[in-house]
Amino acid sequence: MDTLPLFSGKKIILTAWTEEDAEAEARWSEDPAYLSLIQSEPPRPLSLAQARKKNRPAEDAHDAFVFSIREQKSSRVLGIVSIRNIQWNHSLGDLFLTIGDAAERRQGYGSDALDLVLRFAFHELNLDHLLATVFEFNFPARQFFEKAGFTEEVRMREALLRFGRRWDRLILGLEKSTWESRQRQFEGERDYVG
Amino acid sequence: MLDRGVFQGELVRLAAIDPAADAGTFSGWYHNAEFQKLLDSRPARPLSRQFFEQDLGSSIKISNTQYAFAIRALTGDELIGWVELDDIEWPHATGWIGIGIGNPAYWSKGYGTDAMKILIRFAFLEVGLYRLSLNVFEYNERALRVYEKLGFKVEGRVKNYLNRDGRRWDVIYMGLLRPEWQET
Repeated sequence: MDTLPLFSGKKIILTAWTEEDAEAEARWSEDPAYLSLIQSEPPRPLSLAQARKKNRPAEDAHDAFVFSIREQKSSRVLGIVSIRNIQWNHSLGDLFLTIGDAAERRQGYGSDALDLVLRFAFHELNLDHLLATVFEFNFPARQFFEKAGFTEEVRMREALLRFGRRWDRLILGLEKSTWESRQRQFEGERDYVG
Repeated sequence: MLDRGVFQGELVRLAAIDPAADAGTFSGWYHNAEFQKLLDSRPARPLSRQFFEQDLGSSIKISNTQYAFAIRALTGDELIGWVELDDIEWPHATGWIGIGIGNPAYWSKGYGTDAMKILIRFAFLEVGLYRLSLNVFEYNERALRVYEKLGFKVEGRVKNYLNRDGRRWDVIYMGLLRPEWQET
C-alpha cells in the first residue's frame, strides 16, 4: 500500500520543536491578542526562558507530542501544533494548534497542519477522540475546527472574564469514526472528479 | 451571620488532612476499585499508605489555587472521605470541585451532599469565586443527582470519553454560578 506522508502537507511540514521555536513564541507573545486567544492565564510577553518552558515537550513524555509548523519552501516557523494529556486507557487526547503571527492566519497553513495532525492522532497514535478548547470570543478558531468536523460538546458558561465581560469556554470534540467517514467521503469526491 | 462554624454542616465537618495519621485510611479506600472508578479516569489500582503519605503531604501545602479537606462524620468523628477545590483561576474567579466518600457505609445518606454544601459555601463566600466546575461520569448516577440538587447545571457531555467495563461512557460537565446559587 502507499503510505501517506505524516509530516508533510501541501504548504507546510511538521518538524520537531527546536530552540528557534522558543524565539518565535517569545516574539508572538508580544502581541497581546496572541496569548489571550489561546490561554486563560493572563497574557504577558514571554522571556526566552519562559517561552522555552511553555512548549518544550519532555523528551521521554508518552502523553504529549509537540510539532512546529513550518512553511515548506522557507522552513520558516509559522506555529505550533500538539496533542497533549493523552489518556491511553481511553484513547483520548487534547489538541492545540496556533499560527503565531496574525498576518499568517487564514492562508491555509493551519488547515494543512490540522489535516496532518488528525491523521497522526487517529491512524498513528490510534486515538479515538480529540478535544479542543475554544473561547467563545475566538470565532475564527471555532470555525476552523468545525470545518474539520469538530462539534461543540461542552459549553462552560461564563468561565472566562476578559475584555470587560464574561464569556463561555467551549470544548469541541472529534471522534475517529466521524473523521474516517469524512475522509472516505472526500476520497470519493476526488475519485469522481478525477 | 451564621451561628455555626464555616466548616461545620449537619452531618459532617471539613477538617485538616493529617498525612501521617490519614494515609492508611486513604489507602484502604483505594483498595476498592468501585470507589476509584467513580471519581478517577485513570485505571484503578491499589495504592499504598506510603503513596498517600507523599500525595497528601503535597495536598496540604499552603496554596492559593488548591484547598483540600478531610470529611469527618460529626457522630464519632470518623474520617469518611475528602473534598477539594482546585485549579483556581483568579483572573476569572473560577475553580473545580472534587469529592470522594471512601467508606461505602456512608454512601446515599446525605454525607457527601452535606460536605459539598460546606465546600460550595466556602468557595463562594470565603474564597470569593464566581463559578464552580465539576465532571461526573455517566455511570455515577448518584453523584449526578446530588450535583443537580445542589444547583449545578449540565453544560454538556463528552460522548464516549471513558472506556471501561467493555464499553464507552460519557463524561458530563457541570457548572454552578454564584448568582444562581441559593444556600439551602
